[in-house]
Amino acid sequence: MKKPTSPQTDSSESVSILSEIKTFFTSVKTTIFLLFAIAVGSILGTIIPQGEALDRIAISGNPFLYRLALILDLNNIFRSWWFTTLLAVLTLNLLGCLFRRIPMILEEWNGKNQKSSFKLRYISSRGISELKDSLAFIGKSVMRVVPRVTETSDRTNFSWDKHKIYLLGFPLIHIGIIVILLGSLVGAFWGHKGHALIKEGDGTDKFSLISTGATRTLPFKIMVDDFTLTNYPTGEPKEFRSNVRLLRDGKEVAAGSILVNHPLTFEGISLFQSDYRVLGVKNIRLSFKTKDGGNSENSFDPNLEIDIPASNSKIKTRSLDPGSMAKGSGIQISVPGTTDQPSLFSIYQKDAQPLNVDGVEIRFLGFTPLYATGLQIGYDPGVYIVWLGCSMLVLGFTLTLFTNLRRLSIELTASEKGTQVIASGRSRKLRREFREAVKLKLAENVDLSRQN
Amino acid sequence: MTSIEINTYLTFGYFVWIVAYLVTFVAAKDRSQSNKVFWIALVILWSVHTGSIGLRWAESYWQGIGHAPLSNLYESLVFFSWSVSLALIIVWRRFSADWVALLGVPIVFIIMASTSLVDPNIRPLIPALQSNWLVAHVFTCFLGYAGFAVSFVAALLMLLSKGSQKAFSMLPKKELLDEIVYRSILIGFPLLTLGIITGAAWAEHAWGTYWSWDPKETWSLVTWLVYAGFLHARLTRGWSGTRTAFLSIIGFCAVLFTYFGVNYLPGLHSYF
Repeated sequence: MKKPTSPQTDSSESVSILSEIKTFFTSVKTTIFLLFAIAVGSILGTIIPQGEALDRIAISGNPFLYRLALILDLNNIFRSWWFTTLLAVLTLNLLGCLFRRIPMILEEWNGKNQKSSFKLRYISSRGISELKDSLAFIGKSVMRVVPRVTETSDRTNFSWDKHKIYLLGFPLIHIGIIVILLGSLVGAFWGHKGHALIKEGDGTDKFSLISTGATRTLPFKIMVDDFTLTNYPTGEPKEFRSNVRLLRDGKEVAAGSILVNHPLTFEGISLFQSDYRVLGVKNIRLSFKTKDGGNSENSFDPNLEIDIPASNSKIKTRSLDPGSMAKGSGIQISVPGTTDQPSLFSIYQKDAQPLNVDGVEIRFLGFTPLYATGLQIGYDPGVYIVWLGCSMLVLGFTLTLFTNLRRLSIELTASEKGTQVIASGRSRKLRREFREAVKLKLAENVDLSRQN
Repeated sequence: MTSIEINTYLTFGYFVWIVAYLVTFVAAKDRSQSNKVFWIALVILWSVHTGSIGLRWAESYWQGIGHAPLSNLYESLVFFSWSVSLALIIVWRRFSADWVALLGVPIVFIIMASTSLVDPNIRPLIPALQSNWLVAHVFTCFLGYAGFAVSFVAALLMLLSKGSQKAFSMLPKKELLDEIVYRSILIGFPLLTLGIITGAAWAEHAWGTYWSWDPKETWSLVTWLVYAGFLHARLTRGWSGTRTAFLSIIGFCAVLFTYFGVNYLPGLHSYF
């Protein structure tokens, strides 16, 4: 970049500082520096364990390092003052570059500033009016669009434009990035992200913010009817599903299942499946086979006494054993006997022999755990701005890659020696091929002699 | 024959291709005829590669856990080498640059050979991966990576030829190498951008956060920033030759770290 000359007087010195600042914010050199600086900052953020760096340095007992880590916020690099500043300066630099470039783009759009990558000069003994039609035809056969014609008494100019929309690519890409950064800023200020752990059958309208842990209240209550966990036969998790209802003033306003990759959104607030916890046992399943051959299977609340069918005995669940692959899971049950002391039995899913109480064969079939589902709660008004920015970015790249800005201008000027023909043009892609195509067409169709 | 078996033969096929090509490269005086044969042979290998990916897709459906074969390290390695192979075929054709294959096909071979170190079995999709974004995200990212890989190959050749003029006299002109270093990134960069955007959209859908500075995300951003730096340095500062070749190599190191290295960093996203 041009360095402003350093003048002697004070007043112009301040001007020079201003122009230095201006240069800084409009220079691509700055952009390149910032891109690499942000890259280095990001790398640091992945190498230094975020959230625990301070503790580790504190243990190492180096006061200088600790202070440095504190000042540079090494614990939280991506939200640190210097990283944020880098992003902010990048945004300003992008704006600066845009302001510098947009007038040039506009000029080019309006055809005022026509850069050309080649210029072919010819001379012909024929007059303008004779040449005009065939030259217009040539231009059209190369460009396949209608030309713009400007005519004066001794000069005729044809110009063809193609894919002028290419010029929008650059501003779209760069504005897109600014829009994305702004969208993230909106999210940081007005959005929030929280988490709630809700037991099956329970409901809540409270959640805790992930950033600070502070409790917030939702405009509705989340009722979790149940949570199910399904596995593939191979044992890998297949599905985590929370069936919820959203209540406002006791009235149901929405309902549905929340799965990973399948959030539930209500009034801009999205609920995501995040994690789960096993809190206890929801029910146990037992089968009974009585002496007369009667078979029954039922689910029972593990906290209540269970009547054994066709018998006067009751059993009570004492504890649950997750068991092993060989035995399956199991329960310990007590059967109140004739003595004061109840007798205890352990029965497992895969026991060879059933437990016999009063002639009734009891088998343990399994249990359903009582879960609490962990829901992530997100509200981010900036996300639409981010998607807008992303769309601009994608559109900008599409224009840049898949359109081919081409310009051709053929100018005929009457001179003493005859008619001077100047063909000039530019093509973003296949530059040489374009030039050769124009040259060939001219040679094929019009009798012209080349001039330098 | 299963797709896993085909991949083993395919790895061997790439190896045979490399050996035959090297022999011709050293021995033959005029390689214009043999080059055509080698190009076609590479296209055939790539077609088999495509077939094997398609077969694996079908196999997952036959097993009742149908999903696109892009869900674990084995599948991603196979797909990565497929993309690099495709990029080599295109660049070879477009720039009549057969020597990209000299360094490029060995890379394809190494990636394919490395699949023997990981579990090749088709596994069912874990909940976090059960999304339509999977295909769009992986496709764009890896095609982008393939562009960067070709750029890396050309950059490496450029630095090598600079190092010893004599040994690499058969290499093409510096200008052409420089053009390939740049053009491949010009294609790879928008694809990576699209890959990051689809990844962000997916993360927003699955976890409610389009960006959470998780190591993989962050390193994809680092890669993006390096290549953005490359493009600006080249387009506006007039950098070319050795300097941009170095940037291309740094960029590809970032790609590799994004792909493999992040597994060794603290605080990785666990898929549930």
